[in-house]
Amino acid sequence: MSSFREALYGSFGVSNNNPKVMSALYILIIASLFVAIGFLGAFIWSVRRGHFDDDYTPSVRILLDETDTKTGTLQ
Amino acid sequence: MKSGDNNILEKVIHEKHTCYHCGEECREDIVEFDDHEFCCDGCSVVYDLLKENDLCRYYSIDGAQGISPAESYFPGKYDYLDLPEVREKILEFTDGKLARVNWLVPKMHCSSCIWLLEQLNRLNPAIRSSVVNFPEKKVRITYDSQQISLSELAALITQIGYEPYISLNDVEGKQIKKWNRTRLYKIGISGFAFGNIMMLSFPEYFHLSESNSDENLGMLFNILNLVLSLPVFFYCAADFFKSAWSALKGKYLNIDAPIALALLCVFLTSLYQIISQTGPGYFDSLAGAVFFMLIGRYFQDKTYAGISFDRDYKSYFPVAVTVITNGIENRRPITDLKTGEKMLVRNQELIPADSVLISPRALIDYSFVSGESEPVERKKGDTIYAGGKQTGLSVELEVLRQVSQSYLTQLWNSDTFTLEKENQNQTLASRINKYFSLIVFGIAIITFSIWLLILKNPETAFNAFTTCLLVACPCALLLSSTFTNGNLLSLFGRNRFYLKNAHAIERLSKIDTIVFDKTGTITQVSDAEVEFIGETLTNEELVMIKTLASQSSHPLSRMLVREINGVNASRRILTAFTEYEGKGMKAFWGNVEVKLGSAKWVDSPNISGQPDNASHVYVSVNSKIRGYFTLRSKYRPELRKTVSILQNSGFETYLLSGDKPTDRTFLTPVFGNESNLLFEQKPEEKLRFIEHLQSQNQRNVLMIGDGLNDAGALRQSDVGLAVSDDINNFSPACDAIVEGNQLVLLPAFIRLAKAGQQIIKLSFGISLFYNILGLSFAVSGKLSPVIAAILMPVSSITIVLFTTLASNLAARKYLKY
Repeated sequence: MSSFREALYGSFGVSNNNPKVMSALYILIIASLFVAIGFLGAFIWSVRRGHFDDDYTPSVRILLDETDTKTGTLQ
Repeated sequence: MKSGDNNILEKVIHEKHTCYHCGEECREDIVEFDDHEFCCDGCSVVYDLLKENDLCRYYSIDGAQGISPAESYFPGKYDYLDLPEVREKILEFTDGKLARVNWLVPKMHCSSCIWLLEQLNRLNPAIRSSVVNFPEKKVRITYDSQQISLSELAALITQIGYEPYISLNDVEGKQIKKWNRTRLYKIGISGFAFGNIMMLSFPEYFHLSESNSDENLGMLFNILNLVLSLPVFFYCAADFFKSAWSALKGKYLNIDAPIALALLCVFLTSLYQIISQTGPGYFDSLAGAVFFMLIGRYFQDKTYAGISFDRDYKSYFPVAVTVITNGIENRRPITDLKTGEKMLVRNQELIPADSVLISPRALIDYSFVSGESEPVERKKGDTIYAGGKQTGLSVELEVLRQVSQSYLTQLWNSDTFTLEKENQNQTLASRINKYFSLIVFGIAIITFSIWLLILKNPETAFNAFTTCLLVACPCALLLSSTFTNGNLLSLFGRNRFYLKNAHAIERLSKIDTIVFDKTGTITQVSDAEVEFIGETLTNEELVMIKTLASQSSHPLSRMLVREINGVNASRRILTAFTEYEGKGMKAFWGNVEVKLGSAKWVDSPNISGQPDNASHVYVSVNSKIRGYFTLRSKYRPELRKTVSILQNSGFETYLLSGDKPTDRTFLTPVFGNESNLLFEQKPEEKLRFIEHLQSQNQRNVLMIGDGLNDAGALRQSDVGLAVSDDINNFSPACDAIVEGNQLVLLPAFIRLAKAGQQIIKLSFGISLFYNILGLSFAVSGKLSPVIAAILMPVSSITIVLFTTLASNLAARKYLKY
């Protein structure tokens, strides 16, 4: 396993003993969590707005023409 | 002779008229209107209304099929909606000017329905917008409350055939909607936590936090994991704990109990490991398990929601009742009924409050309350308890006690709605689960004691104990039955076979005996040849007969009503209407006594003598026999094939009929053995026959009836199947509804249900394999988080994929797509 770890760090050209790289990681992790929370928030917002209430009707509705009264009566 | 017959037949086929609006065959007078043919005035009125508003595109949309307006509508039916306290509860929103309602419209069925319901503003400009939610069969209408009242709105959409379904639940203002969204929030949050915990656990999986500087990072990751898992444990998984707790309080184990135990153990172990810094915990597995189980539950609920008859029993309660004050009828919500008021209860309406009968006679059907299918006769002055249904003529009642909803709820809840056949512990999943939980718990305890007492290693002992519970979490078991049954329910639904719930599938798979009811089930209700033999009836007599017959819900009466053309049922009220099930009915028309029914009922010698393939309805006026109607029922064309397939697959088939053995010669070859045909059965004899099959012959009985006259037998059987062309027309006694022309698929349905049970067992096998694999790690105290994190999702995903694919394959095989 330790060889894998060396290979992993090595491929990024960093050493795990470099404190600067590690502190950058703290910030990155926190930042990535905030991005993820942003997406979670977007999901919750869309549920709240009712986007998931009906997953069938919109697919039918889009195929029905908007009101065209003149051609309608000819049918 | 032969060729002549054929010619007539061809002509008849040629002259078949179909209604332009509803697409049904025109049986009675054809209404010609605007170069189109209509089966009834109702349909032509709807057409006229649509045409007037340029809405004829309705008919050109694929699968368009209009709905005839409901006959049960009468002006003033919705007046109670305008009462402020009712309106307030039904409206979703109002600002004094604009208002919004969300109504259940059970009759919408195709894309043209969506189109029409979304064009309501063209019928009445006061309607601002209408939006359909098709899966829930709901339409949300925003309207100008200053220009159109709520009752007018309800009347308008009833007029075009889409009667809104307003139940007591709506009046109570319950919001089921929000609950569905809560489930989505929970899935979203647990999914989010699962993904992030997984990511933060990666260094741990590869032992990346061994050196000094990594240790701090590892600590941060662990703390983040803990924080992320808190909402999962306390919010997302709360339902499992609640359900497990309520089951434990009721002193039984449900499938959620072991799940809750496993989740609790895993959470506590992980918490301990992090605080004591002895390990990273199993938060990833915890979040993953919750995530997958919630998805399973969501899928299950969605399938059930699509089945329109899986409703709360409260939705059967009437909302309004007709109250008579000073001879004026008006509709009022039942909650407003006061002691001493007079109310009018029509045929098939529920009696909402304990009351005293004012009318001379009433026939009360208490089948919802007691399960007894025979209506009870009550005389003037008798006390009538709430919950029964009036059958026959409208009756007047004086209210004795105000309506207490809790009383009604209690009354209905007690018996019919908590069917003993729904026993939770009897489903396959929960039976297996019971053993499974016990075995896992046993293994965990043995492991714990071995590590503690023999190997003297308390740390590992505790670890092994909790990991045993974690890895053997029964979520795979839960998923396998949910996904298989859920998928089967929707596959059945696509073939217009609607099962009440997953338990019904399981019972269906065990069926080995099938009992058919005759009238309305294997015969087509709406089709018959009617002929009158005897003295020619005068027009007035025809009116009398039609009026009398229209009081009854017996299939023969309904057929008579439909077939007597050219006269209208009179509005003049018959007095002393009496119907005796299996015999006939009588009433007074002025001072003329009219009797309709069997030969015995009218004291007639059997005129026809020889039994032919027909039922007879005798008519007597003032004890003088005028003759009889011959009703030749038409059998469903696919009957012979269906029964022979069933017999070849080893099912025993029986026929129960309340009618006379007129068709014995025709039916004997179909059912094979004459002893399997039972005629002239009263409802309770039908029930007893099924009971006998169950207890004496150890049979699992499927009873197929029309759901109206054989409620008792349907309830007694293991699976009660109602054949109906209107899926909203059901009694709570049945477990399933099938559309008439789909009855031929019944053998395939049963085979598919059997296959479903096989699939569940197989997927249990698969999850058992994973469990043994996981347990072998856990017992040896070596279950690392990475193995748990791989095993959990992989086993869940395999189960979901396997059950979905396998049930779809089985459906393709049996139902032939």
